[in-house]
Amino acid sequence: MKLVRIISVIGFYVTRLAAFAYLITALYVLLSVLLKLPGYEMPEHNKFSINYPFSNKHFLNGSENTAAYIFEMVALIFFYGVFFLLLGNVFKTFEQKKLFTSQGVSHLKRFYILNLFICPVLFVILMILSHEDISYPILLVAHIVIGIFSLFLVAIFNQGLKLQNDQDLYI
Amino acid sequence: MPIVVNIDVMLAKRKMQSKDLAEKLDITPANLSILKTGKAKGIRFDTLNAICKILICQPGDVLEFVDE
Repeated sequence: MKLVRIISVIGFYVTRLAAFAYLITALYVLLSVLLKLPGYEMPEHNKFSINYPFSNKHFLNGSENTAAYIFEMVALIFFYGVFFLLLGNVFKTFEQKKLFTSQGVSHLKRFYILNLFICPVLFVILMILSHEDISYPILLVAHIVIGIFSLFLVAIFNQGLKLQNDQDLYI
Repeated sequence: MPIVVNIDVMLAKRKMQSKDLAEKLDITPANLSILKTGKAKGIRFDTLNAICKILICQPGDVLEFVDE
């Protein structure tokens, strides 16, 4: 369990950092576009760039300045922010001394719902809207597989929790 | 549950409080309460051994079968 705990701690902090970065980026893109912040530029007709805050260096480049394109950009970045946030919670579950807890089961449940239900719906919408060369089908399959394994983990943890609660009633 | 745990009777006979027994058994008062109120699913032999030692009694003094 020591190795599991070490990997979980590392995984937790890495995913928390990634989640923060993705969510802040999504918010920054949305605010830049909506409020036409100084970092939002249109170097060519119908193309746009979003610079790093307080800088002229390009951070993100958009090939179309349309609502659908911007929605795709923000939605995808926001989705992965939430993905890493929930993945961090899963790592936190495996970090705990007591493995089978109802909170752990909840974290796993939210993670599998995101991957197995929310992701397919979102990715199908983005596939229809997208003009970019993003391999949505491959990403979708990967997320569905992750979702299925998370679902299996929920089943295992539910069983483990029940057995643990029963064991706790042996004085 | 047909098995009734009569620890209170023995505690009264030995003039001991529940919390003192829990402390000597090295279990939480909550767990002792689970045992006394019949919510426990079972009792370990170690625990039963310790109860009998502390309360100077036999298992039959603290465990009773009541047919429902």
